Amino acid sequence: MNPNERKFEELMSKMTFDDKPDHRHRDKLEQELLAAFARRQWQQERQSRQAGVWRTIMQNRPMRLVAAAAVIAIVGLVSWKMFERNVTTPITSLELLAKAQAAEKELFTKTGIVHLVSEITVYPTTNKGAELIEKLGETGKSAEEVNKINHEIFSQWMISWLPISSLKANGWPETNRIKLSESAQQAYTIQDESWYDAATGRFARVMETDGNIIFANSYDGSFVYQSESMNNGTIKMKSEAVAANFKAPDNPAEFLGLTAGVQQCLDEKCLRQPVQAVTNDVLADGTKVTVYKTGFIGLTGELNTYYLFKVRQSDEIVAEIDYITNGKPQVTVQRVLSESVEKPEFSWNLAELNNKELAGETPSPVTVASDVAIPNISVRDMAERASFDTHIFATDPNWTQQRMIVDVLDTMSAPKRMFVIIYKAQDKRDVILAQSETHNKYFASISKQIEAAGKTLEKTVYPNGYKVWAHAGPVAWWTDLTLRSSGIEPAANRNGYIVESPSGTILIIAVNGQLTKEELDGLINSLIPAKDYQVK
Amino acid sequence: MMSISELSGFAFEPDTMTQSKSDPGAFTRLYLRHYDAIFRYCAHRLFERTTAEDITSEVFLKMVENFQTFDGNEKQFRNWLYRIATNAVNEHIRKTTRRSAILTWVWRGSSNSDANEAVAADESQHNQAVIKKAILELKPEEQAIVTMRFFENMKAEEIAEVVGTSASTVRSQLSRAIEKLRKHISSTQLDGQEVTI
Repeated sequence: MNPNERKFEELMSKMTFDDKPDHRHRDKLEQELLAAFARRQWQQERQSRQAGVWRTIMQNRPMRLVAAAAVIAIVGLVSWKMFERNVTTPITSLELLAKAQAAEKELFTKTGIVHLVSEITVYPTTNKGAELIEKLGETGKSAEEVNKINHEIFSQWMISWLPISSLKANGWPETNRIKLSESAQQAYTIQDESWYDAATGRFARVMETDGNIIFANSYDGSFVYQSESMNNGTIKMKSEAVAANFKAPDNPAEFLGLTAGVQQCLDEKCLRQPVQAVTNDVLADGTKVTVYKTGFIGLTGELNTYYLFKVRQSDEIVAEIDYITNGKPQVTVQRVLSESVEKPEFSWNLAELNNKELAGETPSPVTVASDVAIPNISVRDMAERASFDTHIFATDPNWTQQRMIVDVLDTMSAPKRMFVIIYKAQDKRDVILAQSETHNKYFASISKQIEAAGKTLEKTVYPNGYKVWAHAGPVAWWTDLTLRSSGIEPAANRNGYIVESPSGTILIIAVNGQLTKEELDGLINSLIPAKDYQVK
Repeated sequence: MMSISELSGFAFEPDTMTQSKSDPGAFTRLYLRHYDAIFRYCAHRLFERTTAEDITSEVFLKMVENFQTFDGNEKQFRNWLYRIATNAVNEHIRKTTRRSAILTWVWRGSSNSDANEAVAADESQHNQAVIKKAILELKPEEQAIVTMRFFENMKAEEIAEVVGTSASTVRSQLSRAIEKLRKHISSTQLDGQEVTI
C-alpha cells in the first residue's frame, strides 16, 4: 500500500454509515427469494430435462413417481428373465403432438376473457390390486398363471386417475386427482370450466357435477384460491396471498383447459414411451381427428394402458383425451367450448364460493384430492407418516451430493403412502431407494411362489441384518423404469437390488452405474431404520 | 463493519452450492450468509439505506434467476454476488437524476451542519459529506473499487475477481481514483482546514 493509499484509508476509516442490516427487510426478501427460487425451478423443469432432473422431481414428476413405484411393485422374480429388455424406443410422432400443445397454448392468447369448457367423464372402477397381490402368494400355480396374475396386477394399477393441475400461492403447481367412490355404479360427468384473462394473468377454474362444485382454483391478482375437499363431499375454499414476485406459469394450459395435467404427454414422452400408433378417426359430431396412442407397455409387451389424444385435423386442437385400460375407458375428457367472453361467470375471487350453496341435492361420489405427491419431506416425516417401518442410509452414499424424499400415494394400497428417496450424484451414479406396503406384500407373495416352486431364494446377509436378494439382474426392467421415472436416463451399467430389512420391509434400490464391492457393501451396511436417523 | 476477510472465514464446503440449487433450506442458509455483506456494500456505495435495500433485493433476485447456471464454490459465489451488486449499483448511479439526488442529499446534510455552526459532531458529518461527495464524483466503476478496497477491506486480487480484471489493473485504477479523490478533497475545507492527502 502506498502512502497515498494509506492516508486515504485512515480518512475512510473515520467514515460512519447507516449500514446495519434490518432483519425485516432480510426476512421479507427471504420470502420473495424462496418464491422466486421455486418459480425458477418450475420454469427450468419445463425448459430442460437435462441435469436439472433432480429438481424436477419436486414439481412435475409425481405422476411418474407413482408410475415407477407401481411398476417396481409388479415386476416379479419369477418373470425376471422376461423383462430383461431395453424399453428405450425411438420417438416417432411426438413432434406432431407438440403442435397440439402449441395450439392449446395459443387458445389462451385471445383478447378478452378466454372461456374454456370441457367435460370429464369418470368411469367406475374397482381396485383389486391388494386382492391380486394376495392371490399371487397362493401356491400351486403354474408359471403361466403367476404371470397372468402379474399382468392383472399391472393393469389394476393402471386403473388410474386424471392428474388435475392447480396453482399454489407460491407459484408452484399442485397435482390433484379425481376420485370416484368405489361404490359408484355408473359413470359421472364433470363439467370443467375455466376463465383466463391474458392481460392480467387472472384465472378461475371450477369443476361441477350434478350440482356439486367439487373443485375450484383461481387467482385474482393478489390471492390464490384453492378448494379443499371436506369429508361430507363438499368443498371449502382456502385463500392465500401470493408471494411478492408470484408469477403464473407462462403457459396457462399447464393448469387450465382440456390438457391441464397431461401436458407432459404432449410435449415429451409419457413415461418415456413413444407414440405407439397414429390413426385417423371421425368424432360423433363429424369432426375429423388424428388419434395419437401413447401409453405404458405391459409386462408381456403389449400396450394395455394408454392415452388416446384425438387432435382436430383442421386446427391441431385437442378435441378429446381418452384414458384406456384393458380396452375400457377410465377417464374421457372432451372439449365442449372455447370462446372469448367479457367477464367470467364466477368472480376471480373464488372465496366467494364459501357463501354459496356448493352441494347439490345428493352428495357427489366424485371428489378431488391433492394427496398425490408431497415432495421434499424430512426423514422424520417419512418415519411418522409411513404405515410400515421405513429405512434410509445413515449417511448419504459418499458419491452422491443431493437427497430428496418424496411421499407418494401408494395407489395399490391407497390411501397408504409410498416413499421414494432419490440421491443425485455428480458422477451420474444416482441412487433411488423406494419402499411401500405394496412392495412388502408383493415381494412376500413372490417369495412364497419361489418357495412353492422348490427353489431357494438366495439372500446375502449383511452385519446389520439387512439381506440382499439374489437375481436382481443388472438390466432388470424395473431398474430402468425406476430410474427413468425419476427423470434419470439409465446408464448401460445400471444395477438394481432388492433388500429385505430385519423388520421385513422390502427396499428397492436402483443405482445408475456400477458399484464396487466396497461401495455396495457400504451402501447396504449403512441402512438403518428411519426412526433412528440422526440429522448431521 | 464486517469485512470480506471475516466473511472469508466461511467453511466453503464443496457441496454447499450444489445442494443450494435444489434444497430451499440450503438455499436460504446460503442467502442468509451473504445478505449482510451485500447490503452493507450497497449501503457503502449509495450512502442511503432504503435504496441500498432495494438494490440488495434486486441483486438477490437476479441471483435466483441465474443461480442454476452458476458453477463455482461459495467463494466464487460471493464474488459473483459482488459483481451483480456492483453492476446494479453502477446502473443505479448512472441514472443522472438519481445521482444528482444523492449528491444533493449528501450536501444537504453538510449544509445543515454548517448552518447550525454546530459542534464537532457536525464537523465530522460535514467531513463525511465532503468525502462522500468526492466519491460520488468518481466514475461508478472507480467508486466500486474504492468502496471494495476501503469499506469492504478487499484485496486487489479479490476486487479483480469481482470486476473481472487483473489485480494490477485494479491497483492502477485505484491509484487513479485516489488521486482524483485527493484533488476533490484538497480543494474542499475539512474541519475548517485545507486538507492534503
